[in-house]
Amino acid sequence: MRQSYFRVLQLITGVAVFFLIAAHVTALRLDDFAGVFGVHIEEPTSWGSVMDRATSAGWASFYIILLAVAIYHALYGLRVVLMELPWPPVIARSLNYIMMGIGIAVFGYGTFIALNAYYS
Amino acid sequence: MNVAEVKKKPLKNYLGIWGWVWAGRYNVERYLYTLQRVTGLGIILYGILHLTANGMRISGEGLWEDTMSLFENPVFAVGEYLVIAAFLIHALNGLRLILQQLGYTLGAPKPPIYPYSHALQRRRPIVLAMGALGAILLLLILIDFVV
Ligand code: HEM
Ligand code: HEM
Repeated sequence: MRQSYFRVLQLITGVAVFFLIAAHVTALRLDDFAGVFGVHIEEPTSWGSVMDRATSAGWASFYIILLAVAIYHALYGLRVVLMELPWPPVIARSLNYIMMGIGIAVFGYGTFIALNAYYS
Repeated sequence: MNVAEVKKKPLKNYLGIWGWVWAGRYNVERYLYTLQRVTGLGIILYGILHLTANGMRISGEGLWEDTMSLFENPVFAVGEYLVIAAFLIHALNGLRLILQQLGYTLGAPKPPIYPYSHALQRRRPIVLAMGALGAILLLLILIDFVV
């Protein structure tokens, strides 16, 4: 039964990640679309612009939430793909823990990047 | 064929990894699953590069600007378009899967009265709608990229 809740969470995070990444990509790469929503960021990938966002609490939390949601969705999806491969039994049994380990490590690394810039 | 022969040659009722790519002449939806997988894995690949590049921030402004100037190369612009396209395709198809898993857009079951319509025909419209929406958005994003 528990497994099916994780699957539902995959669907929920899918919807969440859609809105978060759509906003992220629109603001930082699709300036014409961003203009429709009244957003305009001058040279979004310049150091000044990146640091402006990194030191604002709103954007910093946005990125940490995006990290968490995207990592869950991506690793759950990757796990489904990997489970179809013929692993040796040891790996097959520990796949869930391997994925959790990767997830925690990547989240830790990404959060470190964000917080390191936030407190700079 | 005797029993021993059947045992020697088990019937292949699965496609193995090859089935991820090609399963025979199935309907579009079967290959949208392949596309969902390819785009999902593609976005993960981009995510790894993205987080690595983002990590350059830790070393300060110099390395960050060097990294970003790398991405001014048109090859990366094409790459970014492909990433956004993969995201869009994955998202629209994912939305379709979510709706269908919850039972929406499948149409009500019908008694088999002539002229027959099978379930596939009834759930085709959302594929077409998502396809059309995707094509329009991909075009608009392309315009955003080149203009
Ligand atoms: C944009 C919003 C997104 C939506 C609505 C979405 C939706 C979905 C859904 C419903 C599935 C399940 C497919 C199935 O099992 O039948 C799925 C699978 C997957 N998603 Fe996403 N997703 C989104 C974004 C992402 C992102 C950003 C990533 C990568 C970071 C990703 C990676 C994956 C992977 C690897 C799978 C597994 C594919 C498979 O099982 O073959 N998705 N997605
Ligand atoms: C091609 C379009 C994209 C561009 C130009 C872009 C650009 C950026 C930039 C400049 C940052 C640094 C933060 C900031 O300046 O606000 C960032 C952070 C981030 N991006 Fe993207 N991005 C794109 C697509 C994506 C996609 C598709 C994903 C999902 C897999 C994603 C996930 C993230 C995450 C999680 C962070 C936060 C990293 C951290 O602080 O640890 N981005 N992006």
